Amino acid sequence: MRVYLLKRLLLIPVTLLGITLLTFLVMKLAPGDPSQVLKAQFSGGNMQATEANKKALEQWRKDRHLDRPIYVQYGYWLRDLLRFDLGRSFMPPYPKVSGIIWERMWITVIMALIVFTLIYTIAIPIGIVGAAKQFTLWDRILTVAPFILYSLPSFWVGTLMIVYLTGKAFPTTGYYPKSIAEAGFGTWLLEWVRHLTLPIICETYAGFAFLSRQMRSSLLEQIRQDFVRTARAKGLSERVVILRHATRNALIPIVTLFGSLLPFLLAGSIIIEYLFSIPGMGQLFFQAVLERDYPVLMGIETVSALLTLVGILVSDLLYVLVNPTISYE
Amino acid sequence: MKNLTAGLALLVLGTSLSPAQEGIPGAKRPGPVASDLFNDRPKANPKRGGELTEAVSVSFRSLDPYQDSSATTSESIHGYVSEALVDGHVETWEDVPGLAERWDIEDVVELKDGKTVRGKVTEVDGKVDVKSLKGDPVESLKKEDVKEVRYGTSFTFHLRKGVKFHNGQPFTAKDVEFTWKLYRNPKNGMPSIQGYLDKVKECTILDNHTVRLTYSEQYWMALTVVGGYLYIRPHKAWDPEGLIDKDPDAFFKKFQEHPLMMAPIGTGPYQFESYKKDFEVVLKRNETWWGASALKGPEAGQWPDKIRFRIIKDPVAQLQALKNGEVDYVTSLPPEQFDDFFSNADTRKNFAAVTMVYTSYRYVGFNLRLEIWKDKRIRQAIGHGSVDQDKFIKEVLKGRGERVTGDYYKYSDSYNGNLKPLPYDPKKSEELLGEAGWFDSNGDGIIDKDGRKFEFEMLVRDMPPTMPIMQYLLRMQASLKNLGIKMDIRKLEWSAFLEKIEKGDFQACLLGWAMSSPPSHQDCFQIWHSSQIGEAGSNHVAFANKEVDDLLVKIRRELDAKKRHAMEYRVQEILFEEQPYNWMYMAAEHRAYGKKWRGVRLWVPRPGHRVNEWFLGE
Repeated sequence: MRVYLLKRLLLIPVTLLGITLLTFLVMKLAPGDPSQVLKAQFSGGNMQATEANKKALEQWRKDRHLDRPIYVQYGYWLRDLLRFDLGRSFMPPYPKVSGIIWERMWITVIMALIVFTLIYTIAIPIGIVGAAKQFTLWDRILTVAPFILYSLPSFWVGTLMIVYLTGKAFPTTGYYPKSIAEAGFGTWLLEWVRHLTLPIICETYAGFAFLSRQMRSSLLEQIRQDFVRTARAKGLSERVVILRHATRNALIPIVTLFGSLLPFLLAGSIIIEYLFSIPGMGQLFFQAVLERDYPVLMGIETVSALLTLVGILVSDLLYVLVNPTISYE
Repeated sequence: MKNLTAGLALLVLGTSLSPAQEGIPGAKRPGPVASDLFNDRPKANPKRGGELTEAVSVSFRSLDPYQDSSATTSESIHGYVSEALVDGHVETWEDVPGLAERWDIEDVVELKDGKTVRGKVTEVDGKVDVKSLKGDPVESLKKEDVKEVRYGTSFTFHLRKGVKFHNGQPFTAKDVEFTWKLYRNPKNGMPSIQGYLDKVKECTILDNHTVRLTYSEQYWMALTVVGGYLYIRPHKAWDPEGLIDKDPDAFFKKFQEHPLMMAPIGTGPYQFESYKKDFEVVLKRNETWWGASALKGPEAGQWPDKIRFRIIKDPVAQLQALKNGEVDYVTSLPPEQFDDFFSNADTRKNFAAVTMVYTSYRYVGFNLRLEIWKDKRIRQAIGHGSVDQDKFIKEVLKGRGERVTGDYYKYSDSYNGNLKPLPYDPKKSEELLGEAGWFDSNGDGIIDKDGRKFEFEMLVRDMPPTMPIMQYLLRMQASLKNLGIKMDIRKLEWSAFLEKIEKGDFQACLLGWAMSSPPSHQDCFQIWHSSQIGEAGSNHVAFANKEVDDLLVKIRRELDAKKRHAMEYRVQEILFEEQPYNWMYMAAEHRAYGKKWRGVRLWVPRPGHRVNEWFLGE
């Protein structure tokens, strides 16, 4: 087990290197140039070609090694990464990438945690009922309903929510700027609930379909196993058979799925963050793409690649923990 | 004035129902600006109190006007926090005293031996006489010793006394000098301002409250640049140790991350209170503002206790927030959402619907590097045959647009009103194309010349199909098809679009220019001079014309407004004949605000408002 863990841990940097190289290449091959964006931003693009301006733009590019070949640029980026430095954003005021990611991360992570908790607590019972009552009307309703929700685009639902549901109870924005110290704990909590309710619903409703189907098929598989037949033969009630015996085993793949969901914690939802004016990772990423802010893009990609790799490792290890019949020797 | 009010009242009552409205309403020329034009509630007396929240659609990267030079930061925050030596008057559009209470303008004589003499210059038969401001003779020079006389390039500013920054530090000439040094240094990470201040060569402190700035070229807009572009910063707060002189490298290294970038200090009517990243910026009243006593009329207003800028990106969400009372004022609304919002009687009762001039214009630009566009008759033919613009403005823009024929603001003295927009005339197009040798020789429906078909790609920034511009392009595509021209529309996302435009890698494009403030002060040098072709300039269609080049240089040097306008007229004449752009129209801008706010004046120069003048009327 230790050898296995060590091997896997050593593989992470190698894989990460490959991922970052590919990301870097794809990003650079896409058309667009950050210095044009910068120029367009200044004075609405109406910039005069004075020597001073030309020099300033050239210097700007040079400082960011944009005048060098791609592999040299990647080299510089990698060198900084080895010093645990994600560099600085290309756009004024040139903040540190690690700083911006850290600032934006918490709201997205908290929202994602709430959303995942909700999805799990709702989707798993749906899956269980679906499997236990296979081919009944309930099964059909519980299969079709999540898919209907799944197919409603969130930009549309979000806009409808803003137009029809905001007002006294819910504000149009999904973010509350005051700290506990400023607002007092009670108000703070209440305000956050008011601000986050709509965006959370909007981010959650489409998520039931996938997980409930997983749960249903996993449980159906277990129901056909010998130990379930044995349990039934023992004369246990159907309820106990399904919930205590079959579901426990059926949960194994669901638990391990969590590992691969880890990167989504960081990604955030661009559309929901935009609609509800939530300053999270989704908006940061989108803005960086539009501006070709390479260091920010690389920073986000690297962090989420790392999280994905760790997530996969964790879910592999979880397999061992939840299922003693598997071992990595 | 009466007629105007009646017209606007009609607009408030039924914006979407009054397509008969011709052109864009509002005071378009310099002159008095009436308040509460868009509000039918009774007038009220100003009083202090309340908080005003404006929705802004762009995040603030930095709260520094030159680190984030997007209109949001410079207009929203620094319109209230920071001040310059010279201010633009919102009614006359002229340079008026800001932090400088007055100024003396002198001429500079540069001698062949490198020396310079300053004063009022008169040139008479072979001699250059220099007098002091009081009229005493300073020097009499021989013409052959003089290299150049630069009229109106030396500005001595007499600063207001007793002005204090928000942190209590007094405002002196030293702060002007510090600001000047800061903006000019190439290490400051603000390429936008460096270019403008590059020519402000000297800054001399004459005494604590007198400072002289010199522009290195004769330029009619020099005062605006010298006095208006320097947002003055307190040197003691930014650089207490005077590092900018002793160790500039160390200073600028720290400067980029200086805490004041995110907590600006100025001398303006409102001071920075708090900032929640990507959420809002809050300003509070500066109780010791000099303007409260020195200025007269609405300009002296500091009515709201606080001014907030709330970042909401989606226009639907902005309008809903307005309706919910979360914000008080929304600007730059897309026409569709605006009309939809005001189609409801309740919203019309509570909110003012503003339709006003947005000083900008749209155009179709032809990449003149390409053989296909070399013949001006082709460009004229496209202009005549692409879209019936009057019909388009009436049907799609609901009358809220006006056709233009050139770059200058339509209601300024620079605009050549003798030129009439090209009429929609497909017959004329056909003739022009025929003259240029384009016929459909093989009957495939597409005209050709020397075996080459007339096909081109129109590059446009990606936007939703409901935007008027996309409808314009579809109409254009259909009309050109009738003329036997195949136009493909290529939509590109903003950065990719910009890169193509800047590198000259396009065939034709649809773009717009927004005018800087005030609209009467426009300099089209960077758009049309042949030296501005290439990445750092703005002449992306690569237009080059000897006469236009000469005129543009002369216009810059000409201090006499009448003579300058004559040359501006000529430039427009040539450009209109050449049609490197097919000039389209100037569109209206839509805004909305809560009717409880009074004292609302909206004018043409950007950003069109100063909310410190607004007060709660009920």
